[in-house]
Order: sequence, then C-alpha cells, then structure tokens
Amino acid sequence: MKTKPNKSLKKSGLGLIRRNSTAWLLLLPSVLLFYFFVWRPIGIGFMYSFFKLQNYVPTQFVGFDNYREVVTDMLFVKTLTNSFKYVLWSFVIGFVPPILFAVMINEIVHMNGFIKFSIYFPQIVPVVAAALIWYFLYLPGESGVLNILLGKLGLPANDWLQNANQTIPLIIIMMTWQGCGGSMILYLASLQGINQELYEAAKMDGAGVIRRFECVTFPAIFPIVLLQFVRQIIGVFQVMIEPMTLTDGGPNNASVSLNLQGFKYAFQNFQPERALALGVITFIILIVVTCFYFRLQKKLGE
Amino acid sequence: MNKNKLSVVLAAVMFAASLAGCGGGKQAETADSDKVEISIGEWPSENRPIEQEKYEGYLKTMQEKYPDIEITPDEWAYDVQTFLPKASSGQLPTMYTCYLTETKKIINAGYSADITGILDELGYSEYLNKDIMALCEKDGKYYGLPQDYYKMGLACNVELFKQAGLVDENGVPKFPQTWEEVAETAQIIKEKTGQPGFVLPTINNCGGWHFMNIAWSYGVEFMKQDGAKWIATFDTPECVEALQFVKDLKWKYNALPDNTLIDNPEMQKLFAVDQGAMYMTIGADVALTETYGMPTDRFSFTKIPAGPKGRYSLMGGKTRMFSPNATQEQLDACFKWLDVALNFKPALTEEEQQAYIEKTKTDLQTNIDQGYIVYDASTGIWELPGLSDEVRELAKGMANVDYRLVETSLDDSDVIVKPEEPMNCQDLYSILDSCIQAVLTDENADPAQLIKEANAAFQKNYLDKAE
Repeated sequence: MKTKPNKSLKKSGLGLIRRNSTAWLLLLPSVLLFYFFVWRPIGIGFMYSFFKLQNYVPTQFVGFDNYREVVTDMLFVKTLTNSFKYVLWSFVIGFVPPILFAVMINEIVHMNGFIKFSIYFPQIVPVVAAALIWYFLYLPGESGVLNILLGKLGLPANDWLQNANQTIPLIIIMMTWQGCGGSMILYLASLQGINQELYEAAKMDGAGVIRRFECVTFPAIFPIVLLQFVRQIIGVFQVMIEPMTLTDGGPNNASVSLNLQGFKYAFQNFQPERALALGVITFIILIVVTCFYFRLQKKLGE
Repeated sequence: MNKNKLSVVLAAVMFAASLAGCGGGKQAETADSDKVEISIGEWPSENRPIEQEKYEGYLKTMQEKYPDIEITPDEWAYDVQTFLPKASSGQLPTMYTCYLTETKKIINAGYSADITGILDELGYSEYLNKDIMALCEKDGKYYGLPQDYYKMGLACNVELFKQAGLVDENGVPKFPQTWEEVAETAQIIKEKTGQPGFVLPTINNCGGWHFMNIAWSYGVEFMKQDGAKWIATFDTPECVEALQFVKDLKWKYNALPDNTLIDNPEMQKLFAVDQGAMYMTIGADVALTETYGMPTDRFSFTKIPAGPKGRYSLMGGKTRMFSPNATQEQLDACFKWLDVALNFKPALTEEEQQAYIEKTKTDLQTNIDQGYIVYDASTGIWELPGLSDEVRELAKGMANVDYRLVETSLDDSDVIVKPEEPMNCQDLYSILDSCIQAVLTDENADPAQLIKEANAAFQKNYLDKAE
C-alpha cells in the first residue's frame, strides 16, 4: 500500500479489488450471507410474483395476474387501510413515549439503571410471549385482568380487542409497550451527546425546562426523530405477528394487515405467489415512503 | 507473519466458516444402496412413552421381517405453519398424516404421491369405502388413505350438566336433540353455573368449519356446479337463519364465552376445565385428558343436533399421505410398514380377522393405559360389515367410561354424513369465520347483509378464479 496508486488500475474495478484485497476478503462472508439470505430471496420473490407456482417451482408466466387477483380480492382495501391505520395509531400512541422516557432518564440521577432496564425489558420478551401476556390483560368478560381492575374502580367491563373500533389501537398499545425501549435507547444516546455547556448557557440566559427542551434538546435529537419516524412507518406497516397471535385478524377482519393476509395466502391457502405479489406491493409502498423521507431530510438539511 | 498476511488468513478462515455454515442440507447417502430408506411421520414422542415403546416394538418386528427396509422415526405432525416450508423443500416424511379437512388442499397442491397403482396391486382397492376415498381422489387417482374417519357430534361436559340439573337419574346428561334445544340448554347452564353453555371456535378457519354442521341442517347449499363454472349459492334465507342462530347464542341466550376470538385448542381447554359445557367435535379429543387433565368421567358425547332439515354431520379424522418424492420402492416399504406394524389391510380370511381384532384390542389397551377415553372402534375405511360390528362390540366391552354417556353418539342412523364442500373449502371457512366474528362481537350486525357479502366475496375472490 506504500506505492502510489496506479491511475489506470484505480479506474478499473479489478484494480480496486486488487488494491484492497484484504478488505474485500473480509467483506466477502457478509456479502455472501446478504446474497443468500437477503438479496437473492428478495429477487426471487419479486420474480416469482409474476409466475404461477407449483411446489415453489414457477410453472407459467402470468404477468400481472397475481397482482390483479390480490388487488381485486374484496379484502384488499380493508387490509391496506388497516395497515395505514396501524401506522397512524402508532404515531398517536407510540411516537412520543420513547422521547419522553429518554428525556426523563437523561434527567434523573437516582435509579437510572433500573428504570432504563425496566423500560427496555419488554423488548427482550419474545413477541408471542408478550402477546400472551396482553391476551390475558385484554381478555373480555369478568376474568380479564384489565376488566378486573375496571371492576374494582366500579366501571363496566370492556370488550377490548373484540370491539372492532378498538382492536388496532389496543394492538398498538401492546407494540408500544414492547418496542418503546429500543427507540428510547436511540434517543438517549443522542441526548447524551449533547454538549452540556449549551444547557448551562441556556440556563444563564434564564431559559426554563420547556424552553431548554425547545431550543437545545429538540434540535439536537431532531435527526433521530426523523429517522425514527421513517423506521416506525416501515416497521409498523409490516405488522403481522401481533394481530396474528392476539386476534388472527379479527373480529371480522378489523385487524388484518397486509402481511398477515400474505401469511394467510401462503400458509393457509397454499398460494405463495399471491403472498409474494402482496409483498411486492408492500415493498413499493414503503419505497415511496422512504424516498419521501430522503427528500425531506435533504430539504431540512439545506 | 505481518499484519497484512494475518488479516488475509483470518479473512480466509471466516470465509470458509461462512461457507461451512451454508453447507449441510443433504446428508451423506448410506453406503448400502440396496436398503430402502423411509421415514414415518407422527411417531409418538417422549411424552407418550407407552405408545413410543409400542412403536419401537413394531420397528423391531419390521427389521426382522424386512431387513432391507430402514425406517427413520419422525415426530413431525401436521401443522399449518410448518407444512408448506417442509413440503416445498422436500422434507416431508415418506409417510405423514394430516387432517381429513386438509386432504384436498394438499392433493391439489401436489404434495402427496399417487398410490392408485399400489392399492390395486395389493388388492386393497375393492374393499375401500368409496365415499371416504372420494376425499383423496383427483382425476380418478388416489393420493391418500384416510386412517380413520368420524362424524362430528356434540360433546357435553357431565359436570356442568349436573350442576345445572340437566341429568337423568343415572347421571347421564339430557342431550339436546335440536339446535334450538342446544341454545336453550346452553342458556340454562349459563344461568345456573355461570359458565358458558356452548363454545364455538371463530378463528383460524375453525368457525366456518364448525358452522357447516349448523348450516347444512338448516338446508343451506353452499355451491353448485353449472357447466364448468361453480356458483356460490348460500345467499339464502336458510343461511341467514343459521347465522341468526349463532348470533342468538350470544345475544339472545347469552350462552357463549365472553371471549369470542377462540381457536380450536382454546375451545378444548374451556371444555376440559369446566368452562364450557358443549362443543362440536369428532369424539373424545386426546387433548382433553392428555393436555388439560380432564377427568374421563366428565366427558359425554352424543350425535349432532338436528336443524329444520335434519341432522347433518361433517366427516372428520386423519389421512395418511405419502411424500411426492417417494419412489415406488419407498411406497412399497410404507405399505409393508402399514401391514406389519399397524395391521392396515382388509382382513378377509378368518385368520386375518382374528389378527385385526387382536390388534384393535392392543391399541385400545394402549389408549386406556395412556389415560385416553375409549368406547368405540371401527374398521376405518375398510368395508367389512361383519367385522365392523365385532370390533365395535369389543370396544364396548373395553370402554373406560360409563357407556351410557356415549351410547347415543353411536346410534346415528338418522345422521347424514357429508364430506367437505368440493371447492375452496378453507377459503369458504375463512369468509364464514368473519361473518361469525361479526355477529358475535357486534349486537347490531345484520346476518342477511353479512351472508350476502360473503356469498359475493366467495364467488368473486375464489369461485370465479377456480379452474
């Protein structure tokens, strides 16, 4: 590496590889893993969505037939709007708490570690186990945990997940309980990177807690807020396990999401090609959202 | 070694390791190429030691008789979540078992081998019950073997019936004979015991599946063939009435559990732990006693209740199927296993019939030893009337429950047994699940509107697209 880079070599890709052979060799395992477990399945899935499949072997090219079938399925509009509802509710319910928790932990002095652990803990509970906990919390009738509490307060029992209007927000509450810790850690890391002198300066200028948050904290964590915004759209839009374990998409399809419908196509009805078509549709929607995010980020950066 | 070289070596090792991780897959072929290797699915697992031991005995007998057949036990049992990945990667056991209700779907997907030739060759074909075999037929060929089949009936929890005062002087529940009576009985049980009188599953396509029995008895016809096309025909007053009945169970009789979104295991659990008095099933589900510890004397079983058009019952049970990759030799070996281990063949001679009875006796004894409920046995899919009666008598003699609790389920001459609907059955169940969930969670839901939409959806989404 001591010799000066040869100009012609620098231009050709081969030269690039030869010069950094060690680096490339170190990269190779992950590239291979990515190829086999991420890129190749995505590519194949995309391709197969245009075929009729028999035993996962494409038998006939059918163009957009699978897409047509998926989109004209009378449930499609419902699953699509439900997926957006999940996202919407996740912002109403789940977006602010991690920021609040992060600010709180950043401020408190005592029992900091314990509280951090407590908030992060649900993250390490497997989703199915978490769903089971919430299943008992949300159980309708007199034996449900939340209904027992309501009963103690003298309030009437609630139907919880069985009320079609409540199903999605309630699932989002469970997801927030579980996912909040992960986002909080990100915010916390960003908060702890803030130069403390800024706060001192603000204090000297007579800024209160709210003003300090507005002028120092928020601008500092804003890039993370934006990132989380997009991550949350991408993550929540693909929700599947939670409704699957809590309601199986019910009642009367009130909580069925695009991915859950895809799962049903593939595993309950043995129509993986439809599941793939639905997957590609989801992918395209999310790509559009992500592009929008990058444009927004660029604009805000200017 | 300088730093650069070291990192090259390190990278090479990592690369090799990652490749090794990707490897595997096919195991080394055994050197002995004369041996036929087969794997047998649903092998008893450790939590069923008695049955496991019995199977190990079969294995020994098999090895003595056919040393050139090598059998690998496989504990995998049919499961919706794991079936497709297993099947599509060619990992199914050579012989596996699935539910009768899934049979058609699997055959249509091409995941089971054609066994017509071997059935003919062994001379089994003419003794098979053609009505049941129709479930395993496609284009005149057979792709599976029902191992046993049952009619759905009504299970009643003796304890809850007793608490509600609904038993006769012998302690036998007063079984409801019509759906109307089911609703009234369930209401009384709920009022007297506080426990739900009836449990209906509503998710994972189970709601639609159970609803069939009710709908047929109200006179519903779900579809008919018109030339090459199939037409959904259940947007009728009968079907609305059947759905209204389900709705009434909740809102008029208040007889269902508070939690509506129930799957099959949850339903069995509620019944087993005295939190549900009745549910539809094919007999004494093993899970009741094995998984949920229900005392055997709390189980009673009767025939399916009647609707305005009679008693209709859906056929249930399990089917043996064979891996689509199985070679002719492997299929032969599987049938030898069926013959030697499970005595699965038409018993024609006196000697064979005796052996069949002996085998049934040991099987029933195993079930009794394992704590299962025993009261009935059949010749399964073999049409052997004389033997059938003898086997039933045998089971009656060995019954480990008060026979009066289950007797009425066996006298079922007035029950019309139906196989599943011919087209897109699981899709139909899924659509009906939604209707049932709607009427059970929303007091103002309109059954007529729901059925109308369901009929249209089934036609548009599935039948119009069927080939």
